[in-house]
Amino acid sequence: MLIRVDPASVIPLFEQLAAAVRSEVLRESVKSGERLPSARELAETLDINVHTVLRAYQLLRDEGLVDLRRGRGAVVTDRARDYAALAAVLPQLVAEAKRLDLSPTALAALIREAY
Amino acid sequence: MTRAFTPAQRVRIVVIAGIVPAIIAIAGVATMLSWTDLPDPIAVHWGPTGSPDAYGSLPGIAAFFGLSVLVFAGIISVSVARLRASTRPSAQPRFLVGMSVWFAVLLTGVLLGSVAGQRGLEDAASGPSVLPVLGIAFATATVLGLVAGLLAPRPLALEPLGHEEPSLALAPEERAVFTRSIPPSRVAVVSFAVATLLVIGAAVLVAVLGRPLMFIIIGVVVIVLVLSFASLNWRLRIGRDGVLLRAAGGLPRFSVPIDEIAAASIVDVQAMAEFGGWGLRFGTGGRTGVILRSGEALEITRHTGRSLVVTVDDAVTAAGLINGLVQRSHA
Repeated sequence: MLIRVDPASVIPLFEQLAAAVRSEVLRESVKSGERLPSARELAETLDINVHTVLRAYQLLRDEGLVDLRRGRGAVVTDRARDYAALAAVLPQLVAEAKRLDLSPTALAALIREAY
Repeated sequence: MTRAFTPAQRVRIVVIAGIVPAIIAIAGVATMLSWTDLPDPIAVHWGPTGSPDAYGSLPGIAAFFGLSVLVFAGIISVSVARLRASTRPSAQPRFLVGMSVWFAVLLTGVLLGSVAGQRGLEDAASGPSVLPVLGIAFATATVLGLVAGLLAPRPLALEPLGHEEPSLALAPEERAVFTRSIPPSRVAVVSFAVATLLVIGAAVLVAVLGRPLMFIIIGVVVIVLVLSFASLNWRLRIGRDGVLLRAAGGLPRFSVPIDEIAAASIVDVQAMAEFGGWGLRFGTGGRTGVILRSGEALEITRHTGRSLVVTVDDAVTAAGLINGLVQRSHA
């Protein structure tokens, strides 16, 4: 699982972190039942605050993507399997947006409006 | 898939590592069984001074030794002959061929020599010391094993495909971490299970025959089992502090700081041909391997030329991150 965060970006770190985990689940580099690195380990290696990591994990828990249990850490749930269909349409969506010269932010804004 | 040996070479391997040891064992056992002037029971175990301290029946012991040689020779000749070709073949296959002959000559020689010394005796307890026999058998086995190893064909070396070194572009302030667990393949688990059973079997046998050493042997067995088990599951982490590769139990572990890394690349690994098996392995050319399957692997090369090979899934991403971190540290 590859996680990248950039403190220089305008997007809050916890959102970047949650997005990174989500996309790794999408490309099945972490599978359901697998345990994510502990918040402390991740905070240490990424050199960010442990509360930022916990906040990202809580966001993912609210989405139903991970289970948070004391002592067990964050475990990817069965819900991850449901992402297959979404993962299939995403490249199409991105390709179409690129053809129209839309920036990722513009595409994200379109999606937000459609909600 | 290309085999490491041509059909003619495979025949040669089966003859040297399989048929020759089998003939040695069968001829040795047949010779012993033809002797009618032996005491009954015969001495089968000797104390540290070389005098007998345990006794048994000849057919049982001969059958056990003969079968051990046949099983060992069978496993080695088949597994070496079936090897796949790799870009970096090691000397391991030839070593194994030599081992098969060494084992057959040693076992047959020790048994034959020690039983021969008991011919014409009324009581096996008055038999001669076994130490000279051990020495002669060991020396003969080593010489013949060496010859067998030299006669064994060299495995085919494939031309390496293009060296793939992916790189991930990292922003100056960007932080990145790659983590992945490295579980063993089914073949690796089965081979560990078989090895474990063999070790336990051998330990039980020795414990039954030689009681004074029992605790040492059981201790060794436990250590071997714990170490094998510990090196079956690994975890890889790549971050700003470098590469951390550690076994599930925490030890053994390898840590390589970014500034010691020259580059990371994607390689195709053949577990048996290049590393002689699974687990924590040492290959030729300063390669240390954490090899839990064959196939795509990550190779991390240090400035010293030594390298660490890890059979991690998604090795492209792992190598990309390492190269990205290395290149950014130079910038």
